[in-house]
Amino acid sequence: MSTGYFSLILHAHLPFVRHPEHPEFLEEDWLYEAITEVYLPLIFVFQNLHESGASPRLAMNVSPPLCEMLSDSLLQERYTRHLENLLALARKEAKRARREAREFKAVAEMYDQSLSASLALWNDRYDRNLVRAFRELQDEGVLEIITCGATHGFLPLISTLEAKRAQISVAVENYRKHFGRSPRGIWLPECAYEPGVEHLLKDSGIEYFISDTHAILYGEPRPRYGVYAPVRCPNGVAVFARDLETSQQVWSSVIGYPGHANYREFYRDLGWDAPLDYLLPHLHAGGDRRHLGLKYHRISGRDVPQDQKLPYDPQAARERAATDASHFVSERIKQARHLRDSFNRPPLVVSPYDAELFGHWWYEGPQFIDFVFRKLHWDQREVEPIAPGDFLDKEIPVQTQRPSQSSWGEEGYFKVWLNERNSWMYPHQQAAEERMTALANRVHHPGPLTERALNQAARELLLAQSSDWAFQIYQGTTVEYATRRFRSHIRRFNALASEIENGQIDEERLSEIESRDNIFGELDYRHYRSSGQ
Amino acid sequence: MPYFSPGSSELTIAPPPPPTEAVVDNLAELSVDEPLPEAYAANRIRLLAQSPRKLYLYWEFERDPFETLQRAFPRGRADSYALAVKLVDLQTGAETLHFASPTRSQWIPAQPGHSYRADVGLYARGGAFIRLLSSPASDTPRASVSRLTDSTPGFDVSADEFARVLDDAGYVSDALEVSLEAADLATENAATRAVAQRFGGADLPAMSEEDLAQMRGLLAAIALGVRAEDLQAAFSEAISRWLEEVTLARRREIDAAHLLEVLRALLGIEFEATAHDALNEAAMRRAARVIVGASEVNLPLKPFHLWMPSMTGIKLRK
Repeated sequence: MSTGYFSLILHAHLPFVRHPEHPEFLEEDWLYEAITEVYLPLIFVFQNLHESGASPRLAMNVSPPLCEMLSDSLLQERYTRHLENLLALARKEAKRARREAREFKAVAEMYDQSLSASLALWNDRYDRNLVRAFRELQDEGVLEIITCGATHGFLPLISTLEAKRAQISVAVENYRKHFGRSPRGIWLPECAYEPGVEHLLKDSGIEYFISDTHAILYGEPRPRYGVYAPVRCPNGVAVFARDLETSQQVWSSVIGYPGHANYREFYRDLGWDAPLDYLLPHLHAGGDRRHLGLKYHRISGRDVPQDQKLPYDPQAARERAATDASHFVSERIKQARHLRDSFNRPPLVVSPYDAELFGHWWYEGPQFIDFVFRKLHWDQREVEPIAPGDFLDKEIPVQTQRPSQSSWGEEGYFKVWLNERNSWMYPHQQAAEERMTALANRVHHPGPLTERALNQAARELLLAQSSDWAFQIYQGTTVEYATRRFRSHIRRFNALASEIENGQIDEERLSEIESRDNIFGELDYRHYRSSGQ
Repeated sequence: MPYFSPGSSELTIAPPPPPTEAVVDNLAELSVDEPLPEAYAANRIRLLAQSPRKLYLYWEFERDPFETLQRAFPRGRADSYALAVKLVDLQTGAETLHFASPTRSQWIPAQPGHSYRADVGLYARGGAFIRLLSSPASDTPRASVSRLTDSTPGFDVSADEFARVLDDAGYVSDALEVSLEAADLATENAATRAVAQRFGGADLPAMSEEDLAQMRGLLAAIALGVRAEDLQAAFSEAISRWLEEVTLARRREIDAAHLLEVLRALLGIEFEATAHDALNEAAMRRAARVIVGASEVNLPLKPFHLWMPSMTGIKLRK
């Protein structure tokens, strides 16, 4: 028997951003950057680990909006263009570095080769559809893919039972569409738990969810094994809570691995360093500078100013990733031994992270994961990588507990999504939630046009509920875009609801809205009906 | 060294095609630059828990309540009424009255782990509160560990053991609090009183079980470096009064280092700074989530590791 278990859980999510009304759109780059820097590298790592016999095993949430974007032909086509353009720049750069900047030659050639490989994977291996890649990894036993809220709606701040339920049931339906089976687990958006949500999960066939640490530590009764074993809600749904030690080792900008001097510096980017004329063919039509993802410097040291950063050395960074992975695994062994001694049974360490941390923020993150799984497999026998569903299958006795209301955001509760900057959103969102259910209850036999309008109204409500908007407004990063997105979905919802109520639907406008906000083609507005209707 | 193998799609690489024309915007009349509706012409009220100590309330009326008031009451009397918010603690029955904000929304202080309802109504000094809207109940999250232990064999946990579980999980403040609880269990509640008396330099008044539990939380928070002004609102009146007296008597800011010394001397609890973090004030404050919440990214730092002797059968040191 293992000394302990280790469950890595990655949460891959981006808000649904798709603007067919514009030939190119800055915020669509979020997806393109994430594909290049995170999803393709992770898929590549997992596939290689699997093929090498290293038996990696982890859980991953690929959120419904992300699945929908990755499957969207317009975005696939645009990403192909984006990647080709980036590769063209990387090749230009490799030549330039050989000619006039030898200190950057290694990193420039690295980008040339890695982007070439990315394009091959994208076009040839996965036929431009990464959902297929994730599905393949699940079918091969590498990933246990879990679902999320349909649009990452923050469940405790959704006002009606029907609207909370729709976030879950729409997500489960979408999961079945993409992965051909039902999800066992769910990543509650922002790990936000409120008592009662477990009933909605059980109704949708979900066996477990991921929570923050204090959901269990502050739960009732006291958890015998802390967060080192799951608990079950009284209705049987299991809860896996975050281990802080592993969180800090990776997340923390102060004590975490990603802050090492040898790793790539995120904020120094060719998009800001190179002459504008040189970059113009690779920028959007407006010619505005932006991060392009070609970064030539390493962190160099905590207090080193940006203009004094040293050239990035890919080999040194890779060696550092191996060293950190080795440290991480040895710490897991120590942790497992210590906890096993205390508990007299094997502990489970649950380590949930945003997937985008690995590759986007921490460029070497996918290499780190690669080394961690190799070391777990080849270098030791004490800590077994496991997915939450596997742990439940072991039928180890699990304590029954009522978890505590919580999230994984700042201060551990709901402040990030409800505060002085974004509280104005909720009267609008919650009015729409009530109105959607009133419409769903009232309209029983809609004609085809009304049904389309009802389904689109449901899409607009779901898109407005995305927790990303409130988060961005609070963070003060992309406030204008987030505000416009929220307002546009509420406006579209209100217009559609009024048209349905008045029996006068503007079909041309409906078609336009459908073509823009085309998430969840399978959506049925009846998800919003009250029980017994 | 690149970690991708070279690919085979070179031939697909082509210069980007020229951008296509934007489609006609048929949604121009749904401009997002105009504000959303001020109200939805309905009687609505919602009370939302933001955190253990903060609620958010918003409401709207289908019709202006003052128009109805003017019609119902003789001229002059209606003018004495103002809109007010009544917060009802559904557990204790306690009610607090607040002026209603003209913005139709406001933040209201609350207690952790309580259930509340908010009423919006009309109120005149000396008159009854006329309830117009009543919110569904809203529960604030708890901000500390439960006191309930499991009686199921295999899942029962002593306070001593649970303190270690919390420390292992990185919840140092809670670990210290539960360790004090274990010491109280072994000493018929003498341990926390002794620590508080030594730390405060004065005798403690008689305290209820609830006050004593709060005192443990207070001591844990002080040990983690939380400032006195952040603590006053978090505890009962009796505890807050004691804290104020201690602060005045000591004629200076309450002192975490002194408390750690008292804990070491009386209970043998040792504090070892963790490898990455010195015992600095900011780190300690962030760790004390029970009082002021966790760090900004919900990564409560662990400024020190506790070395807690078993409190079972402990005898207080002199």
